[in-house]
Amino acid sequence: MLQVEALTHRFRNGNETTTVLSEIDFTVHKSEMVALLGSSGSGKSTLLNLMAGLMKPTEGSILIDGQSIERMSENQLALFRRSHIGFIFQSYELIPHLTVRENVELPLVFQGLSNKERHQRALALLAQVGIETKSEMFPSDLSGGQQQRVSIARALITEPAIVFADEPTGNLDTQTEAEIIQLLISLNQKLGTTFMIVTHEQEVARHTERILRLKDGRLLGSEEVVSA
Amino acid sequence: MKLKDYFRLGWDQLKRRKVVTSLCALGIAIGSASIIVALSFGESITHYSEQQMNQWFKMDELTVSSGYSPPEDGQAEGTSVEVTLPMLELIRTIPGVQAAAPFEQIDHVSFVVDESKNGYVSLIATELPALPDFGYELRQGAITDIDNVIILNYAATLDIFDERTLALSQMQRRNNGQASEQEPISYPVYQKTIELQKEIQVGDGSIKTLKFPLRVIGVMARPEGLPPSMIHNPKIAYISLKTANHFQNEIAAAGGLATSMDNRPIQETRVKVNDTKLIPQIEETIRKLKLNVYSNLYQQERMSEELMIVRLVFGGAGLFILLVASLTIVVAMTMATHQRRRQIGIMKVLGATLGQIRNMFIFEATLLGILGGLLGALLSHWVIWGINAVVIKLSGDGSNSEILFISYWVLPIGMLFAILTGVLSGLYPAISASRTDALTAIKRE
Repeated sequence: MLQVEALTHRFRNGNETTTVLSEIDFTVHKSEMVALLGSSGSGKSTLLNLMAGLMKPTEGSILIDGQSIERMSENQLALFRRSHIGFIFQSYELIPHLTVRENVELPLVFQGLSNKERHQRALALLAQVGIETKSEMFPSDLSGGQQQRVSIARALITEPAIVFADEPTGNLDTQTEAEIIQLLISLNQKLGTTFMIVTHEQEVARHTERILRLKDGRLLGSEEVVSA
Repeated sequence: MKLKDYFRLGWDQLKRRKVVTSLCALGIAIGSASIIVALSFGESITHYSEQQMNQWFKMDELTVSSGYSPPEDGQAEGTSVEVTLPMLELIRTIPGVQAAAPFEQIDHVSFVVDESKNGYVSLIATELPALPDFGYELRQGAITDIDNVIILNYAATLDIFDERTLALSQMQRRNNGQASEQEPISYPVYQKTIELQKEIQVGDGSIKTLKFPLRVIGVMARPEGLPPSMIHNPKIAYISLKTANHFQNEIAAAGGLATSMDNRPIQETRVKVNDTKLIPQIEETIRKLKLNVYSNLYQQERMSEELMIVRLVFGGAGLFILLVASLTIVVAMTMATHQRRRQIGIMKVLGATLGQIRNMFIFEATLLGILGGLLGALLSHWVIWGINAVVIKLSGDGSNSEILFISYWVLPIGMLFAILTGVLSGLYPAISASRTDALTAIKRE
């Protein structure tokens, strides 16, 4: 599903070059739920941006669903993200003037789907994340947990091959964090979508199937999570 | 992405930023209204001026008079070419000629009606049945081709006074210092006999007054659109060619001359054409008959040049306002692009292509243009209505005819300019928005 091979990324600052990621190799299988765990400055956000095609790597390759994304143009990447990748942001990133349903439908608008199909799919997903009654509300009317549910529904609406979640519980309280983690687990099991959760919290990572530890730009290893 | 989605998202953005939207739309509206008013102004003034020129200069008429044929081989001198009745018939057959008739200035005479009322007219000899073909309308009577009858224009029925009333009227005018704005009363002359009077010096040096009675069989309609002060002149009376000959023969006889005016050539002929565009062509054909011909086309050309300047000034002002409006849109939309960088970044992450982002902004600017255009059309109608109301009030001729009007083709042009302004000024912000780096946009805040 996701294959990262010999990935190295360097930043150039004047004459100085900083290596932020070095020789990263790992594979994520279909329907797997993997955590990318690392402290601040470990390079996990850079790795996420590279995997999402928002940055180009200095060396190495990234294959999603068998397609190498590092040589794609900006438009090709947009089209690829539209159909293969879902995003969950730490601060939800909902469009404030669109309703909950319209926010969830947005990726389908770019795909040019009909109104009717968009409505049906959005409402079905909102029901799955448990906020179908809020569909005509605006994001500002919702709590943080509810907004993150909308963000999750939006990430899943295109039935992507993989969903990248960047600190999905970073802005939530402990109870809501647990609810969101449970929701992601249940969606992973029910829909079979591959999830990669980027986090600095061990507590969040331990709910996934496998943890990829990142430190100072190097992958320390991959460890299976033994469920309690 | 579907068209209605572009529309919905664009409209949504315009609704959200009501103040900026209103200001931008108002800017475009003022610009497009200026262009609509400028074009309408030019169009209306041209139409009005053509009407006025037709009334005064007879733009659709040619004047033909006798010409000169240069000497041919073996001839010492050239010959004069006169307009004769067969020549007139020939002119009538030229394509585009609606009517041709002699209009000869015979004399300036005074007349008496009802024994004591005096008036004066300029006497013109013509073929009376041809008058309607030249646009003359009667308010009283009907035209018949008989002799010893006369048709007066409206002005000729005014200022018919006895000596005492005439003196009073002249004194009143001198005291007021200006022409009266009151509608003058037409004297009832229809079906009456008026006596043309001509003073002639006879052989012994004494003055003899020739009296020539004629029956008034028609009075022409009052000229439209003229204020009361301008309808007193010119005072014209029309008589048949035969009556004119008769009148002139009597004058000659009274003066002791035995000359007969019968069968003399026509001095001046007027030719009315179907379309003013045909004038140069008809003029050329008549010249080939070795006759003199002239038209008032040069007046129209001169007026067109002057009106073109008026149009350019108004159009230029409109374009300048649109340019200023478009700068406002560029600034407003560039600001909006910066304010919405994060939103654009999210959309790109969610799969929006460069083209889709660009189109969203162009669509928004187009909607702004349409909004401004519609507002501009409304605004221009109010402006035209206002100007007409002022003109009608100031003209004081009692007529309610509106001078300015908006032609059917002007509104789409105004709309087109408004939309073009929207689209063109939305281009830079749209391209700038589409180039927003998604990662930077998301990271920024």
